[in-house]
Amino acid sequence: MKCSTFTLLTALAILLQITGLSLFILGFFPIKPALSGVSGPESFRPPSCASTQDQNHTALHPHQLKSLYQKLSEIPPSYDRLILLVIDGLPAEFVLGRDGQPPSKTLKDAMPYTQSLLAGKMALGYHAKAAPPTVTLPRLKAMTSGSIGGFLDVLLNFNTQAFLEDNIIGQFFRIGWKMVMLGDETWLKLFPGLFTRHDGVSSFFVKDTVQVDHNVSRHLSYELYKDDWNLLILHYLGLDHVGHLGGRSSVMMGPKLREMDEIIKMIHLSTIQSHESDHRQTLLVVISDHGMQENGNHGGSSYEETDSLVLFIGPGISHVSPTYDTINQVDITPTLALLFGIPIPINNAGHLIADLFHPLEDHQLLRAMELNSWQLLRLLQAQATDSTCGNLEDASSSLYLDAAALHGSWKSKNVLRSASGNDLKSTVLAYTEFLATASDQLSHTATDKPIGLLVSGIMTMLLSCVMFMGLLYKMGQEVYPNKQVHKFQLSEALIGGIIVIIVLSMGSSSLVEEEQYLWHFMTSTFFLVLLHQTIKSNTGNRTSQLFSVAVILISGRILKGWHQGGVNWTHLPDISKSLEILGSPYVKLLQIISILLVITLCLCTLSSLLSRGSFVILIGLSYLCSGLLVLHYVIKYQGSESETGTGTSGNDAIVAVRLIYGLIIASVTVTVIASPWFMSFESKDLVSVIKDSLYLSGTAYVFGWCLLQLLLQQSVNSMVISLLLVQIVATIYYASRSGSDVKQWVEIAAIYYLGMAGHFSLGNTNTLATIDVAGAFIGISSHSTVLSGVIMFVITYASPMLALLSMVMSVSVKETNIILKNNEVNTGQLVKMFLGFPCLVPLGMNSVLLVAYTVILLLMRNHLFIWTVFSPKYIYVVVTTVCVLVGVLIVASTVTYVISTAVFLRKKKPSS
Amino acid sequence: MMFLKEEMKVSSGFKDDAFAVELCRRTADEGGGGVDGGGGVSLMKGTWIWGGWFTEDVMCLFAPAASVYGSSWVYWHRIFANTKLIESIDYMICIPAYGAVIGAWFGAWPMPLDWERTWQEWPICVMYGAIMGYLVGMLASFGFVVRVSRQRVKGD
Repeated sequence: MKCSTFTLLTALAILLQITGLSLFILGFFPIKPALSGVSGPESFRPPSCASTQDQNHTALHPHQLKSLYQKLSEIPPSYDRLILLVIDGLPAEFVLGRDGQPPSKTLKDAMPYTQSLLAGKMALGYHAKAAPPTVTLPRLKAMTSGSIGGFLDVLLNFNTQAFLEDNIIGQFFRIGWKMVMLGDETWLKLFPGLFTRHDGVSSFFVKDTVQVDHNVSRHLSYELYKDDWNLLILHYLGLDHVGHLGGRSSVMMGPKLREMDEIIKMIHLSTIQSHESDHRQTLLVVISDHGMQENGNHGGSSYEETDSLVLFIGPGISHVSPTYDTINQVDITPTLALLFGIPIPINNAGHLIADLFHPLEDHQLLRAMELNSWQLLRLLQAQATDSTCGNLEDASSSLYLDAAALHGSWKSKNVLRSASGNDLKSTVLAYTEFLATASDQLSHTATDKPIGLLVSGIMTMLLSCVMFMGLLYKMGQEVYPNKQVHKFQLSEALIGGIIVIIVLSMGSSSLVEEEQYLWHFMTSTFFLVLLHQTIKSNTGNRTSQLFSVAVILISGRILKGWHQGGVNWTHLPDISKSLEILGSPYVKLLQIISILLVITLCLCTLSSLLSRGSFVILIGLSYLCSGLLVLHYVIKYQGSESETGTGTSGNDAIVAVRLIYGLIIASVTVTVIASPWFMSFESKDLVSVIKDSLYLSGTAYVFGWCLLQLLLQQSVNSMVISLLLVQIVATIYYASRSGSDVKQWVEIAAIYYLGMAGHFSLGNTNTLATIDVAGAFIGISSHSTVLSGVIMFVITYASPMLALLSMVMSVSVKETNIILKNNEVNTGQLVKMFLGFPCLVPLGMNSVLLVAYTVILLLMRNHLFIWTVFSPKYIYVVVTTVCVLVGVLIVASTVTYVISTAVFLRKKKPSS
Repeated sequence: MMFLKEEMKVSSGFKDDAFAVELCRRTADEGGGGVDGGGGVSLMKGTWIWGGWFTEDVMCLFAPAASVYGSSWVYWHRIFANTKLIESIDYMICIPAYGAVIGAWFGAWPMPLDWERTWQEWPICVMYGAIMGYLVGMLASFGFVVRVSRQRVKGD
């Protein structure tokens, strides 16, 4: 096959892969259609086609807006003030019991005041079903905006900055409420600048179960005494921390519940007092954002995790039914909005809790339902693809029309005072039916999966995978044309075996969680087999080869121990933890050692080309320079935040980092572009020109990348980077010495595996938690999502990218038996020889893993861990694909550039 | 951010593992190389496990081979690197040794699974794997020995 055919087919396969992947992602992680903007006065009018939004309300003073809302809503606010008491991770079961059974006696005894409120029918309790992922941030968003975020929301809002969607906190702010927030600082990040007073606590120190709550409670009596606020948010994290430490039945759970009970008691008594003194009605809402499993973890979709609590305590609330209903967590939003007379947030999918509106008059209850229906109807209309304005030809719209008709007839009867209880009841029923249906329908759009899209996506990816395999097979046939049967080599079989094992292991959630073990196990197995093979063979320079394999194995062992990784055994000791305990001087020492090691290795690799003239010396100097700058930066700025106050965020540091970025990028670019030109001066032989230029370019990539990583990675990881570099260089050295014993595709696969194992050695796991967000802002002064995203990618994919970039170096030292006749140079043939395997092997292996994991994700879509284990892993697989594509693109363009330039210069030479 | 932080929170559980170390040790014994997973020793809880493991290791692999081949590098190289088995005693010693290595390799597989069984603890399941492999190897070596002796009879 010709080179152009190869290139075209590969490009086609890549395109197919990208198309299939996009189709699948679109189908599997639907981005829910959301309305932009916020609800205003128009939300109190029936939805109409002509979207004539009167914008003049934005100019209104908060108090004018408040009175406008009150006039429009026709419902007098039932309460003046709201206290939102969030108890992180409290399962509703602890307070309300399960399946109609009351909670156990110990739990009841732990919360005597709350139980007495419930028994005295002064509180209204619900099981509020939380949607997965059951972790705090998305739950807070759901409770304040009423919309169920998709999984991608978590990813897209990675930097968890301000919450831009319409929400009740923003609505309260707009009508001039004064708000106070005490507790989890997530609130401050979501709603920056909205709180008059706040004291945020970090949820980072999980082991702390006392101080986090004390930091909230210490302000409590002051805040309850002050009465300038309208909304008081208290977010207690202690109970969640207790759960994480000891599970549901931890010995600390009882005292913690008692503490929470005391707080409820204190708040309740003070609200009664304030009611007596100045007739201000205060509503206390006790909510938990999510529940917890038996062992205290949460995040998934089991009953234990999604069973969260809502407790309404306030004057006028009386409990009617003895059993506690189950509602959705999003129902809190419209309920609170209607109770306090603000517009329902525009993307709300919840429906009001009717029990809370029973104290109101009949027409007010119906009005509240009407307002909720209008809002849901607007959202439904916006989501209907062919938005033919209000003509929703489905069940929900007809339900709405029924309810509206009944409401209309009730109204006219009410004027004549002939409305009976039955009319009211049927209207309420009709509204409830519509609200439930619409709410259901809206929640499902976030979870329904279009099967056609998924299957076509998978088929396209499968086709591209088959194409890659076919190309690889063809390439193998062309490179190794000998007809005789190949001798069986265990290492070659193992390369395929590893892929099969990895694919099989992906179906098990615990092996996905603990994937790092697999990669370390497999790479060490492979290199042990290689060691065995080296001992067996009698050819070549055996001692140096043995030495390099031994170096790879020993580095691999150290790398494995660097980060415990995974999910279940992260608490076990490992090297990085021991280093952190030892203190920063040791970490810094190791950092300096590794920077020096990288610089030395760089100069050593370059020294083999010293005879090629001053250009090489120049390149060496530029790397030495950037290496020393990194060293300077590390010594001066890193880890000094606490002592000098300058740290990595100071202006000097940012300038220094930018200087290093610039120097590294400039020297790599110059090296790659200039190397074929300089090498053509120095040598006559085309193949050696190409090889030397590729060697120089490869060195530039690898060491430029390593220096960048030494700058960006956490300080404990710098040794990992240098060890990875050692491993990769040793592999390349081994393969260059073994001649035809180790085939090129085996070598490339081995480097790829090293890269994957190294990915986990850097402390990465298959949860999104280990992504180094802090590192993404090194050298950036203003917030930029794109730039910090790129840096985050560079940090997270340091190791696979290093492996891919080293391919340029690996092809340059591989023995090739290309015999060129003097004037017959076939550029295409050359490019194919150099590039065939380095491009196809990573692409092929990655595409197998991608297709396999996509199929597994589809099969597991109803698995308990789909959101916590499989989906994050899929995100990693997708980004790995991106990484492979980018890496292969860089390798391919570099090699093509170098070869074509060298051939071009050679053709020019004789004529000049 | 909360989402990320909370994922960091750790579940409970007491398990050890030293997956690759185990393999390094095992096969290093085999290949004659100098790689030893010394880092795994720190993970040991209870020296008796280590002792028992080591004894078993020596019993399976080293003792028979060492008592037969002694310190002759040529023999060791032929048997373990080139896997050229000639005499029936070679089969009797090597096949179980290979079996033990392969068994240990497979025995390490259940370790990261979250079944929460006691035997998943390092190095119990690896030892079981090695013993199973050793037994299978013994049976297989018996077959080989029979075949070799038949060939010898024919040859004679």
